[in-house]
Amino acid sequence: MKSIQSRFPSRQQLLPVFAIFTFFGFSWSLYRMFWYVPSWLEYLSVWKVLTIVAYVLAFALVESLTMSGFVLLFSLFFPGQIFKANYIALGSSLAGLISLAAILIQRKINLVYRLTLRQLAVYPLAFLLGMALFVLVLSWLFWRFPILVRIVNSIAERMTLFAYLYVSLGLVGMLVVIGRNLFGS
Amino acid sequence: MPASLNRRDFLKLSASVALAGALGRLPAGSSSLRAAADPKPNIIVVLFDALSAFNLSLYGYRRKTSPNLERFAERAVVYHNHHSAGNFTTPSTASLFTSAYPWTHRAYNLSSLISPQVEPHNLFSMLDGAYYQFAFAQNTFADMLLYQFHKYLNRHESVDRFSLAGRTFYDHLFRRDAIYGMKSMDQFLFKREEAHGSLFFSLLNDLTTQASYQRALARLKASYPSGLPRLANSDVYFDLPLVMDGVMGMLDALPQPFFTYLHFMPPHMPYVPRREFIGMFNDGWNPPELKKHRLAPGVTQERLNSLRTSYDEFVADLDSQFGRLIDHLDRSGLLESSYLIFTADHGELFERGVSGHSTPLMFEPVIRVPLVIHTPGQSERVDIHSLTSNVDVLPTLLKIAGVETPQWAEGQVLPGLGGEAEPQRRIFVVEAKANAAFSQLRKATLVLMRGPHKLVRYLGYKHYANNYEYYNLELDPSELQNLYPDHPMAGELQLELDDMLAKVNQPYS
Repeated sequence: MKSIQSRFPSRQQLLPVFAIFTFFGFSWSLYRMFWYVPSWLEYLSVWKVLTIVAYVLAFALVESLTMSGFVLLFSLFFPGQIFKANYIALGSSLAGLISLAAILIQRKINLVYRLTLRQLAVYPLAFLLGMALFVLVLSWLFWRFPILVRIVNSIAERMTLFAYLYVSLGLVGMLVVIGRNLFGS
Repeated sequence: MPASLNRRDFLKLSASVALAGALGRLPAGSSSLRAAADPKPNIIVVLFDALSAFNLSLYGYRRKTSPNLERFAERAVVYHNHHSAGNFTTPSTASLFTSAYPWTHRAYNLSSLISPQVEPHNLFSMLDGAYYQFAFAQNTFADMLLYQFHKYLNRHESVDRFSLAGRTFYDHLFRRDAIYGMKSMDQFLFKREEAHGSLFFSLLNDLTTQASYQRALARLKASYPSGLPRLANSDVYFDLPLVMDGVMGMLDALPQPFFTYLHFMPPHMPYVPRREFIGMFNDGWNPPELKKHRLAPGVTQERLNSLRTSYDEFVADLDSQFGRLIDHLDRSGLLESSYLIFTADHGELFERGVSGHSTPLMFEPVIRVPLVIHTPGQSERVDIHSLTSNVDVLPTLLKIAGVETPQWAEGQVLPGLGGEAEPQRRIFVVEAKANAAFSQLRKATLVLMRGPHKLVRYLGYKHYANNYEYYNLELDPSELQNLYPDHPMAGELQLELDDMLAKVNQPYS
């Protein structure tokens, strides 16, 4: 148990990775929502639209937390000196890669509905393997060019600003959702 | 099925127990005796989504698409000139529930809600307490409207009941706030067929749903060579015979007297009939090409014909399932003790460069829907040819239940079921999905029909703004000759429609 715990990154290391996911997750949801709000406003009052926004923000918070948990879990498959030592840089890069891949897939979402069972088994596995390869290549690059670590770390740490903003919004959304579902009719 | 009794169920159960005690001869679970104690007939509304009256052999279509419906019609009242108040699910279903035209209930956008002013005036509130009320809709837009009346329903089955693959979120995770759960989760974060609002989980959901869909399809490939039927705008796949089996089981178990609303997805797109229906209409028939309408996207005639054939096959498929339902109700004795209303929310168009019903056009195939009503004990067919609208369903059902038509109802009791056939009756059809719900109608298609006369007004469309079309359906049932403004009736109807438009716009001026 202790040896597993010792492989967990510190809270300071986890926050920037979470920040990357909140940045992409919340920004994407808000960006998509801008397409919808005008049509919602055609038949819903501002308060009702804000209720939908609350659901979306609460969900984005849950999503960002879960994805951060996934990266944390993924990191445990690597030796401590590879991942934990550079958790912010590697974790943030991985979070960025996953987010960008998700955005690309979202833009071609109809392709997903054509996947066969075989493709559905192979592609996610290939993506996981690609992520592992990405970590190995990146950790070599970070070892070879330490300046890259400093650059990625500084970007990730700046992203925490967004995290503070988005998490606050997500928490407000969460309160609204819980309230409506506890006290709704 | 609710896990626990709610207040309404408890009161009904208490009343039944007291009544059983008083009669001293009412064994628990005996539905026929319960019915004997309360002889009020059940009411079963069976609605098929996007089923045009034009594609049913019942109404003279050249392809034999509806032999079972024809069989059912032999002991029912058949309405030959029945129209929906809208050309897609939300406005037309809202009109059926409220007896209000779309410009009154304002639910005319794609997934909009009935206005708070109209919401209390609905079928379920009027029948509350008199019947055990049960609803099951396979269409999320219709289900959202049902959630507006959720408090009146004794049982409200989830839209993805009988799903073979895929789930909806709102009615499992957010049942107490289902409307906003649906709008945020199912219609935004996990919305199908376009980039989702959720960046990560939606992809996971897509992959797992697609995997379960592929597994289900592999199992049922022999029956569904062109894919499994799916709920429109949703990622829920189903098998109609299984759905019908489930519904039959539910009907058998309902406490009587009951009112039940069943909204089935077929034959709505995607048109995926089972194997035995594929190819049954490869008859070489090619409907004549009609001139493309200015507001049509311009689908080729070849494509329209191919879609029409698939649609007809899907209609024949659902008809076979409807036949099973009727036979089952007949055997169980429910048909004898029930009113059964067979109808649709809107039709489907395969002409003039348009396929489907996402169109501002209001030609008859997209708004004329079947209406066939069996009354308890009926053994003869009755045909009604006068003009009727789906706003008439509520007053008729209330009459069946012994309730007077309320003042707010815009419809009237159907002829053949207590109402009078009025030759000068006027009805309206409203399409305004691009118009804001609570503002004046500026972009819409409005139809006024009186007898055989039909006036269409196109309002605010680019390159086709403020145009009128007039057709005499008696002389020109295919609506080929626009006689506006020359026909003397055109001007009269125009004044009437414009006057009505001014009236409905007045509260928003």
